[in-house]
Amino acid sequence: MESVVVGGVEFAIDRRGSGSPVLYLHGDNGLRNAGLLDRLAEHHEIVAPVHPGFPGSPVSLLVDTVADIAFVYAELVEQLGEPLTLVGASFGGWIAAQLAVTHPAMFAAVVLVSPLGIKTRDRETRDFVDVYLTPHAERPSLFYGDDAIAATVTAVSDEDFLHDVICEDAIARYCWKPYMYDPKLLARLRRIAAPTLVINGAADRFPLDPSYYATFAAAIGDNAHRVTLEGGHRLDETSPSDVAATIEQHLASALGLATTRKGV
Amino acid sequence: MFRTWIFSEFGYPFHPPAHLVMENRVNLPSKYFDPDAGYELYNKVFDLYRAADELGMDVMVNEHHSTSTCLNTCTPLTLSVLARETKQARMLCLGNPMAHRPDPVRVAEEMAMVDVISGGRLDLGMIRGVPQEHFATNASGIDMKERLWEAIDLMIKTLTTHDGPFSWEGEHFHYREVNIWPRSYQQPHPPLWMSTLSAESAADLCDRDFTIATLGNGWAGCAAIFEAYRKRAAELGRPAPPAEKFAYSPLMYVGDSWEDAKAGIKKVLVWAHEQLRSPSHFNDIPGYMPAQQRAMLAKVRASGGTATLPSLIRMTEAPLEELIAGGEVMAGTPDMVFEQLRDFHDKVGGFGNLLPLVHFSTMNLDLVVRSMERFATDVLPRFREEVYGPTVRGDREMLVGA
Repeated sequence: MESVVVGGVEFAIDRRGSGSPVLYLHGDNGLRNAGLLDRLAEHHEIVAPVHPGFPGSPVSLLVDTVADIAFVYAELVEQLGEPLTLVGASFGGWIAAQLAVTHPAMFAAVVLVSPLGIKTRDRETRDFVDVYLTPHAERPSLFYGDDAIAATVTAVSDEDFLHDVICEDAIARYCWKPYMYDPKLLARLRRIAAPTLVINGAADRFPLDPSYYATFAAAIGDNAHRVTLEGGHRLDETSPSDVAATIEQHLASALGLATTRKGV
Repeated sequence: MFRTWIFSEFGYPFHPPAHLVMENRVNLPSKYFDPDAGYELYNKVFDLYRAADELGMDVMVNEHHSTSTCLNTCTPLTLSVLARETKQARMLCLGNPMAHRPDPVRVAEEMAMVDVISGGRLDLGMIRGVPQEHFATNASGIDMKERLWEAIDLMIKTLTTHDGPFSWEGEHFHYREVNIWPRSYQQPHPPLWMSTLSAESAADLCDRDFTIATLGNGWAGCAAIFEAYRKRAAELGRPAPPAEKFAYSPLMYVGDSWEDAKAGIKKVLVWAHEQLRSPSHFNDIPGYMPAQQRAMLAKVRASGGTATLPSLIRMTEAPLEELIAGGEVMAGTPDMVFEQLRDFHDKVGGFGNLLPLVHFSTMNLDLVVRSMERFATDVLPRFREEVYGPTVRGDREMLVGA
């Protein structure tokens, strides 16, 4: 991993692979089980920044919201040159959506895997399971769909435990209040212009609204379609091959068909 | 002068039994609160504080939220009652949860007003707050220390600025015109206190010249914290801090006999059992403790262990004699408690403030008042005369050096 400074913000970047370029934005669990990143690197040149505050990237005084992270990454993408494919998972899907909303012309294709970031229900109805109110023993199945799958990716070494705790701190920094969403994002998703794929897991229990991902995709518009795969919230960790294959199908059509793009 | 600040947590006496409702923080439904029982509790505790005042002692209050273990949810409210209920006692607020309060200027207003109502009897304490409070206030654990200190800086400037408004545009707090009325009775401000359970924080408190208080962690934990404070003072080239800068809170019951004391302290110790009814995930707030420490606890949990504070487990499981030897508890006849207090004083290098938790749960007022009377009559004057006074004057060597 290399360390870069963009717009006064220092962060680590994992670069690997060759092929058409992909900006990969990791999820709430950082890059510890980066199976999807490995699969995508088989066919693409990957640029995967570690978000400020996640393991490997220091906390920055210039970054304390998802919009702040997206602001920094827009400058990173400008330095890389266009066009890029944008892929984000979970928390990274929220950052990706924010980036694609504010810079609609910047990306050739967008992929949002289990994206967080919107609220679909009323003020007295929670949109995501409150992880802080969930006993520790129940958290793995919440994120991975079931305990057996969770057991294959949960922390083992001291480094793993520290990694996961730093990820939790980072998520709390950005998502404590409002909890896991930006109240303005839903109304702005229509600004995403590139062909967009939303992938979610059939057993994802983290969003409480059964229509959450359908609402997310519909709010983007006709340039978005949605695919549901087997698995829980962290598909990027537990079903990397299925997710990667679905992404490749999307890119085959999206990168070949510029006419699917909304005018921007 | 050595001060004893009588302390009750306003613990609700009729917790649902554990087999019906295990948890008593964050999610305990208030349908289990009986308003009549609450009415009696509040009045009993105010009577208790008035008795402490009449016995020549001082009083202390704290606050917690969303819990049956402490029905004092707002220290400015109880202090304003105490300002009228008591005549002579100094009143310690320990304290204001500054990183949880959204408005530090409002805290300064409340404290200044109570200080004026009481004719300058307020001691103004600040606390970080236990992790469960993050659910009640929705304050984040992230950057909490920075927010805490900015809030404290702002509150102190608010209390000490008397030439008209100032503006504040900080990282966490923003004000256009800060200009409170009334200003505090004591000038430049009431004595400032802060509690801590870690030696690492002691240096910060010494830097600000706050009185440092620590709670229930025994003489060993207490000594390490006091030592860190004294060491920092030496580093800063200051004279040795006076004993009045140090405070400790044990659980206490003074009886006529050892048997009487054992029965009494057992009732105070219900406090510790109730603390353990909070599930561990309510204590595990991101940012509340360093990542290394949370990672260690996560590993313990993953291997089936418990991540509860060892000091609380000890308080519920260790024999009473061990808790007395450790200093978490002071209990016995007046002579026994005198010796316990003397030994504790000497083992921590001297201290000037005792904050005894004397009451919990169903304990009736007479029971607590008798314990306080024995302490005020047969322990405190003797301790001041034989131990504290001579030590402070340099006429007495401590039994065990700190």
